[in-house]
Amino acid sequence: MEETPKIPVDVILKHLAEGADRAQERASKASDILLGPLDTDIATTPYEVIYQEDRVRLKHYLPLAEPSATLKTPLLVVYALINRETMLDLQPERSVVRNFLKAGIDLYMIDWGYPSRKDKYLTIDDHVNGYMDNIVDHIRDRCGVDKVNLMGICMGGTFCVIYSALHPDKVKNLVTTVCPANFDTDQGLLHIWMKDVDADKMIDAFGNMPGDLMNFGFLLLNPARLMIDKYVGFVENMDDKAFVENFIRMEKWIFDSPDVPGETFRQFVKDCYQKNLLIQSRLVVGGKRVDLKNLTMPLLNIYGQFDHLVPPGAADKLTGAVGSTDTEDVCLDTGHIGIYVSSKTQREFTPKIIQWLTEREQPRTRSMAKKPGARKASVNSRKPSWTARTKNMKPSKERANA
Amino acid sequence: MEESRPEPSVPMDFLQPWLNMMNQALTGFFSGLQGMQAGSDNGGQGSSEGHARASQETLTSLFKTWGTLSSAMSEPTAASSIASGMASLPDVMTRFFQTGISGFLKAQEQAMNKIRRLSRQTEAYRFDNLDQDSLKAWSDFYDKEIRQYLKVPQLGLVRFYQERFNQAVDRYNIMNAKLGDFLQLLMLPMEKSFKVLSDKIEEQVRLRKVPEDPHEHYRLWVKILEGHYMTLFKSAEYTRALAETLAAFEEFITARNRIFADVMQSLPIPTNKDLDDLYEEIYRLKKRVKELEKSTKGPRKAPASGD
Repeated sequence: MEETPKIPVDVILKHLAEGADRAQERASKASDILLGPLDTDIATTPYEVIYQEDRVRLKHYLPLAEPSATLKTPLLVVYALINRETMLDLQPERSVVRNFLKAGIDLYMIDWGYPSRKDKYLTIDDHVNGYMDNIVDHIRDRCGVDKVNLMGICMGGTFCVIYSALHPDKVKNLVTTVCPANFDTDQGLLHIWMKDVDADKMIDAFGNMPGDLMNFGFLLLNPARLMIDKYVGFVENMDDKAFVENFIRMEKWIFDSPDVPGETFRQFVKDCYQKNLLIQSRLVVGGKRVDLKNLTMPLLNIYGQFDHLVPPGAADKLTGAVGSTDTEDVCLDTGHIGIYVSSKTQREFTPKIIQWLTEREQPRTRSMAKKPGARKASVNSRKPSWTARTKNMKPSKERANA
Repeated sequence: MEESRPEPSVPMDFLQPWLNMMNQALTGFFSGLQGMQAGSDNGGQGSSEGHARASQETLTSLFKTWGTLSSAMSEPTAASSIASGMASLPDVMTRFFQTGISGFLKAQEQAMNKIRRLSRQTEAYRFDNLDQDSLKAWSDFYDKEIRQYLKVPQLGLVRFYQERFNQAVDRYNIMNAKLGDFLQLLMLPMEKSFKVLSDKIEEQVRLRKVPEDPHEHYRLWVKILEGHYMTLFKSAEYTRALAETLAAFEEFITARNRIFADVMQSLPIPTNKDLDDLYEEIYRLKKRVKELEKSTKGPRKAPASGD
């Protein structure tokens, strides 16, 4: 007769005892760490503010390397109105900003600041055709160029898409990252919930959309991980100084949430989330229709496979709707924030953008000539953590071999 | 047939001389007052003169009114009427008393009916499901029994202020009820996950496959919890509860802001509306200035180098 396996009570008790010992040791170390000096500063890469209009500032990052011989077009990064652009420079060794600077890129970034009640009337038009356009003009004048490279993040990506459609003559290349363009998807909870949000009532009550309320909503997207498991993880690693420092940096960024100007929020929810006008080229901004067919510049669209805020279904329709014949979709094996801060994607995200921009900075070779028909390409380097889909553009030799 | 009226219990020959006497006494008193007033007014100067004249006129008017009334009352027919009125006083008092008592009894009956109704409502919610049903019971109770009092039309000069206050109290209660429902919904996955975890552990024990590392149980629980939350968040019930809670919260904030505006209006502090109007004006002006600035700016200089 087969013997029933025994419950290893002794082993379990041993583990429990070890766990208690470790916890005691950890608590002792943790108190030293938490009470001692911690380096938790974020956004430490040096920059100068070269333009300011109302609350909006333009940061120009000081070079960390010799200017690139090939990448001469300035790159303007446009962050979302939700949370802050400091996320791109959370810690020196995982900084998108530093990676761009090391590649010799002339880097500019918009800091949207903290909207107050007096900003509640600002619309998408004021942000895109007002602040953004003035900033682009300022960079063009300063650098003596006709066009800039534009990179948008999340809602900032949507702004970049709108801007590029309305001012295609000022944009050389467009990079959108985790950018919602198609809002009619059931993949993300945000897209489901936003359908029932009464934006009018909300803005009439609050004036601006409170950042804390939005943050609470984001936490509710996955309370098990974001409100429980995350802090259990913190307690388990409190004796690791580097971990504590990085954790606090991330906390600083996550809960640094400016309010969103009321009218902008109202239009974004109603026209984008509820009516899905952008992807249909029916969105009207500043009295002009945003026709995505006007996006004729090269477009690189990067999104995360496990993004719970901008799921693939919200991001991957953009390249098919634009007028450009040189587009590429890159799906990274990560989430909404991981794309910028995880060490794994740090090795892929910025190098990919730098490479893509460099290729388009130089005169086009025959291999890059436009050909009809979209196709998918997968990249097998270092065990693929991302897939690419190009439209009308043969992958470069390097990419094909990778 | 004409009903025979009882004889007045107060003799007429007593009432009439009394009224005449009162009339004469008060006439003398008011005349004296008038004289005093006139004397003091002569000593007054400038602006107080008008005020003194008005006081004198008021006194004269009062005196005349009393004179007329007392004369009328001293007429034999009127005196008889007063006497008969006094005779009917006990009847009137009895009727007042009866009306008062019956009104009180009716109010008591209504109150008892309401209490009976409350007990009928709470009866539906048993103690075996106390945590879930108590919130619903309170919500229903508030909606049916308390809310109506906050909606009673207000009267008088301060009616608008009172109405706004009542509305804020109402919105606050509704918000709390909705928030309670919403939080309860959020707690459901917690409860379910513990139950599922307990079942899984039972299964592991039965199969003698209990993990050696107790941490495994935590990881398993978080995974179960995450799954339950995802199921809940995609449900129409949750989406509806979220929308209702947000709406209730926003309505409360709006009602609260109205009260603040009332308070601030009485203080030298601008209200949100005052500021919003000003901000809107500034916003429009700035926009116009920027447009003008752009239109007056010359064409952009050609870049030193190409793009």
